[in-house]
Amino acid sequence: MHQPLTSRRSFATALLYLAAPLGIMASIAWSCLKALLWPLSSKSKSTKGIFFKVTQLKNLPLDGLPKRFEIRSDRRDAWNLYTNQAVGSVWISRKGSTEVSAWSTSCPHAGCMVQLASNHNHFQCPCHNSRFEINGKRMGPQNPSPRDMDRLEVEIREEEEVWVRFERFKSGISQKQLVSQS
Amino acid sequence: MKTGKCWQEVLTASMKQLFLFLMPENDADPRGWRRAIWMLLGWFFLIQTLTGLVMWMFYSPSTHTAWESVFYLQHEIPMGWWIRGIHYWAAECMVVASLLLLTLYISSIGSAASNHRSYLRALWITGIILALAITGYLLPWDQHGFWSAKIRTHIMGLTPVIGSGLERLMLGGTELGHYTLTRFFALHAGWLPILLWLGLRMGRSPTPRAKGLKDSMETENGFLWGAQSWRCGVAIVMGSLCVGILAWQPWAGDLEGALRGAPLSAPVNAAEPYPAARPEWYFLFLYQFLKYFPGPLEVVGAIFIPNLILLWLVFLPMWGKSRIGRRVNQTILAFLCLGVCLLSMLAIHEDQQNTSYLRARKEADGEASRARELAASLNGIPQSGALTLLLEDSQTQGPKLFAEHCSSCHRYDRHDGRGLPVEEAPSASDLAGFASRTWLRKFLSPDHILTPAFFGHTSFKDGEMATFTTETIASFDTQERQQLEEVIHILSAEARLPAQKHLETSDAAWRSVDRDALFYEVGCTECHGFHFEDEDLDAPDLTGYGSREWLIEFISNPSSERFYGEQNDRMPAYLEEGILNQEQISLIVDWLRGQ
Repeated sequence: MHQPLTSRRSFATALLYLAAPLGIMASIAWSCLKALLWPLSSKSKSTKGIFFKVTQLKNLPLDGLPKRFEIRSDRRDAWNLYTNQAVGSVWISRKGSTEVSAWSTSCPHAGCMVQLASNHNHFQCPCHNSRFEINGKRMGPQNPSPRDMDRLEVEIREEEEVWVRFERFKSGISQKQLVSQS
Repeated sequence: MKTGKCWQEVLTASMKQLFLFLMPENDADPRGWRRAIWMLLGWFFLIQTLTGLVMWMFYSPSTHTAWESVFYLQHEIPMGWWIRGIHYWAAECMVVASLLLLTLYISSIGSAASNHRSYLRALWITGIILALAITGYLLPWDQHGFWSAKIRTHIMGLTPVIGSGLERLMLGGTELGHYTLTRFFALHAGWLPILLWLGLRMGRSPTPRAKGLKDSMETENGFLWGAQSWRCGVAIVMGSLCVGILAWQPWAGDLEGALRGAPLSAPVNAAEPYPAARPEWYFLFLYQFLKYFPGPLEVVGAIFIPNLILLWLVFLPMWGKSRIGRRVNQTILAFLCLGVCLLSMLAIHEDQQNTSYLRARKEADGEASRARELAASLNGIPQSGALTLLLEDSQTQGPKLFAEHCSSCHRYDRHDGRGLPVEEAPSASDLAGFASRTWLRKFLSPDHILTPAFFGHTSFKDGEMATFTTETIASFDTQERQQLEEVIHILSAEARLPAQKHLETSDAAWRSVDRDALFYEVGCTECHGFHFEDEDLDAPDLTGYGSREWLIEFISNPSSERFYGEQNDRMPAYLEEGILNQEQISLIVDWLRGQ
């Protein structure tokens, strides 16, 4: 009679002293992992960017010289919402009266900001010297950039307003792959 | 005599305790320089823990408090700059020391003095020390740290399969922000130091047996006279001296002007390019290396080759025991060291030749010191953060806006506003010193008005003002010249330029002159209005000429009736056409006026 009771007791004791702490620790560890890996779970929001009104046609020079415009929008950073912030910028150029092209200023190589070279006839990235023609095409064989500058969709509305679909693309790869907005 | 002896004993005993504490004892190589470097690393770890814990009490990790709290520590807290300086430079020295340790180990692998386990520990702590440096650089949330972290997490994201997940985990989202800072801070101040401590302690046995240590440290003359004690002492003293000198920067001049201790660049501005971005010196070789992997090959240079080298580092002791294996390892090591040195030198050399980088560097330094100057001038940084100080500062933004929007026609002291020469000839006047006495004197001189610095390349070169200057003013007699000079004084005073304030208060002679009569006599009011309105006059109104209000209204719409009307050459109406907003125009104007 004593024997089974003792063994049952010792089993209960073992359960209490081993399994319970292990279980508790495991559940805590699981919760911690869940919190830490949270940035991975918010991945599904990969949507197409929205259109922003950037400027008016008459502000674009007719000779095709690209001009940089800021994109202003609300920006969420963790617990803060910043209203009307400069969230990025685009290069816009016009050829002829309404043929307007836009590119992301973010370099497809490493995401630095592409600038217009001082002689105004090509784009250049200050970080690793990626160079692009004025139409966004890569220049030269030793170009660090894996693809041409990222072209953005443009719409002319009301005959004079220039709207651009502002999007980000993953840098460092040869395909143009959309990065979701957080 | 007794107290003297007692002192000596206390000193020896405490030094011994310190050495024993710093030293991983159980390893096979109890003597030599490797041991001394281990001890130095332990010593630095103590320093970093102490200064780090103190800095923790002043630091606030969020995107609009990080730079601000670091600035406050650096500038306001007594000895704050010194504590930060020690922490910063001890970190650099730890990187050097751990790399040196690793090289010593690799070159001795296979020899009798080698020890596989302590080599792996050295590899481990080198990794942790580099990770500590990388996470630490972001914490001040300044331009330099921000762009370094951005590029590094991007490179991490290139890793096949797991890359983008890894990048998100590091950033705490898709972009650098609050969560990147909180993550990096927790890693830097919590997780990584624990791992480093484990790395430094792991070789220790629980009881301080330390036979080898005693052998090498204790001679018949006492503990401190052993050769190993001497080596350890030299390492610690030299290491600390290096840190102290680098943090104190005796060459930096007075404390007020220069930022001693550790560098702090401008607060992060992610919306603008930062062409001065470069990695720290010990990663320059990797930066240079990546230049040789164009386009889609980047992943090879950034991920595959470094990981191959890492694999070699981990497994090299396996074949290091054989003679051939040892030779192979030593050859690879020599090649790597040579390659790293060469690539670093190339990177520095290329940057020195790169004028646009050098200029960007100068501009970034200027912005950093301006940010600190603005933050220090205020009785507290506004809640929106130090970046807004820079964004609302005409001295910072004026040149940039001028270069972007005005310099295709105008010049500022013959450059584009930021100090860059412009290839094309100017097609409108040079606006440096606009409306000052000097500027007006030149403008109203027959020798200058038709030069490119004024009307030379504008449609006004054949206009009435040009004719008036080249013909009428050219034929002025002495008395008329005197009157013209008075006109210049009166007109320039309209601008109320800060730089001329002392002139205008000191020579008050022109105040008593009847200015309406004077302007009429000289001939100005034939075309220009001056403190009166007349709709028939089509030249720009001179009332308040060059003042803040006048300039803002002019730039907003030069074609308005008050200014050029239909005679406007090519200047756009910046406000009306939506090219610039009111704040941006004010920034340009304030900068032009030197406010």
